Amino acid sequence: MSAAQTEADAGQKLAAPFLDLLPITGVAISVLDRDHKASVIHASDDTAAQLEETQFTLGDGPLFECFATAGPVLVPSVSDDSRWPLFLSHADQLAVGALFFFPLTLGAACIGTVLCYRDSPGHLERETVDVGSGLARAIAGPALRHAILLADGEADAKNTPTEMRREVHQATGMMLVQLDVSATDALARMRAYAFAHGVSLREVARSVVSGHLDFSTEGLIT
Amino acid sequence: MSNGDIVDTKSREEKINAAFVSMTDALMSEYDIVDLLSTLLNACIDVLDMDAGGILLVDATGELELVASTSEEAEIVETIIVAAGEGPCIECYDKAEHVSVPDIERVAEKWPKFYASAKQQGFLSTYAVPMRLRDEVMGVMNILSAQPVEISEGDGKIAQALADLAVLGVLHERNFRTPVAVTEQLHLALDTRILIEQAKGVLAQREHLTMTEAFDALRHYARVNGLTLRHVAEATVHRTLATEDLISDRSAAAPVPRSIS
Repeated sequence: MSAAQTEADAGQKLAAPFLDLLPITGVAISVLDRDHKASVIHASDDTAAQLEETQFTLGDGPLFECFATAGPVLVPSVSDDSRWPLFLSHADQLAVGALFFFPLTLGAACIGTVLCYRDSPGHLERETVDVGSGLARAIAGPALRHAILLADGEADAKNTPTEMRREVHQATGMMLVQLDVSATDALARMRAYAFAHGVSLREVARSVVSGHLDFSTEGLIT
Repeated sequence: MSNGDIVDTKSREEKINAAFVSMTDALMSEYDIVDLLSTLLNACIDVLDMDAGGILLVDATGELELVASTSEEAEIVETIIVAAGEGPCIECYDKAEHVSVPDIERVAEKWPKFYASAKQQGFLSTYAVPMRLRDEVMGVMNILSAQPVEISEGDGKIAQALADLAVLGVLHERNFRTPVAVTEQLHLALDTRILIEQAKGVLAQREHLTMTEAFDALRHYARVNGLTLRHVAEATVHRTLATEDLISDRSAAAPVPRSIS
């Protein structure tokens, strides 16, 4: 099996429980960075893919609210909702009845969203929303790992999964103090720094934890 | 071995009693899974006279993730994480039964990475117990000793009983309804661990603490104020709980206040 095929299968695996356990038609998983640039790591069908793409093109949509608030965003009736008019009219044209967004969170940091759509409108039961939120939390780590692999094939990801490394989360906590930002922004900054310097997330995290890299002075101390 | 240890002030029976009492205490009060599993780990280490250990739970993709450890120091954490990839933890998980390594020299060839890491940390023996729910294994408890220790059948049974008790506690925490609820609990535990790491980072940066001191401060504050560790970690990361308050509380209760440099 090719590497690309393995990655495609991995994305499908992350999406499968949403389709199994929620009353929805399709699902798309996106990981966002600080500039709201996204990698859509999986879309179960064309409609789901288009819904994501439209929001990123417009720079507007429930996805961004879900990401910013790190909470679920529910649009039970696409045709009756007055929020995000541009995006929702597009969704309406795609014959989408309802949309539900769940945040991908690692502790206090949000790294992306899961979009679920249904062809008919209707509310989700509160318990079902909890299931969706729980599933999203469960796949957040693997989704980030997956996005990093897709983006630059980081060698580190082949060893112990990035999100399993405590240094990454410790560094997130240290950086949010150094930069006086949210955990979401701190983790995004760390990812951006790693990408820009061609090093792994784990290496950056380690430098932060050891005190060699301090973002309040924005540079290497030693 | 534990039962031959006459220097120890507490008898073996006292230790076993203390272990079960600490577990039931933890179950009766406000707790979260990470706290409960830390109690389990410390109880087992004490009863079996071991030196260090960790508890790993399986994540959504089937990987074992470290949720509790006796030390927050990176080196010991590293050894246990290595054991999850290639070593006693993954074998225990795959076989759904305990794995006993009384002398790590014997696994030098079988698990070279684990052997090197454990040896470097001065560990000479290890033991792993599955965290079981009926037929399913949801995680592993791995303990290590600086001595060559062969865990007796009786001690192994006690460790398994304590682990089973903890699993029941995990399920009990929120009404156990469906299999989804069980995995939800597991994932919440893994997420709590991430929050704790982030909170440790905040404390380390603001108050110049080591990661171990930061963890102790969080746990102490949670205990004293009757809050869950998750709640305290969350408030720390969201900056709704001032780190000065976390620390002052800790120094007030600790006999030797730490001077902050």
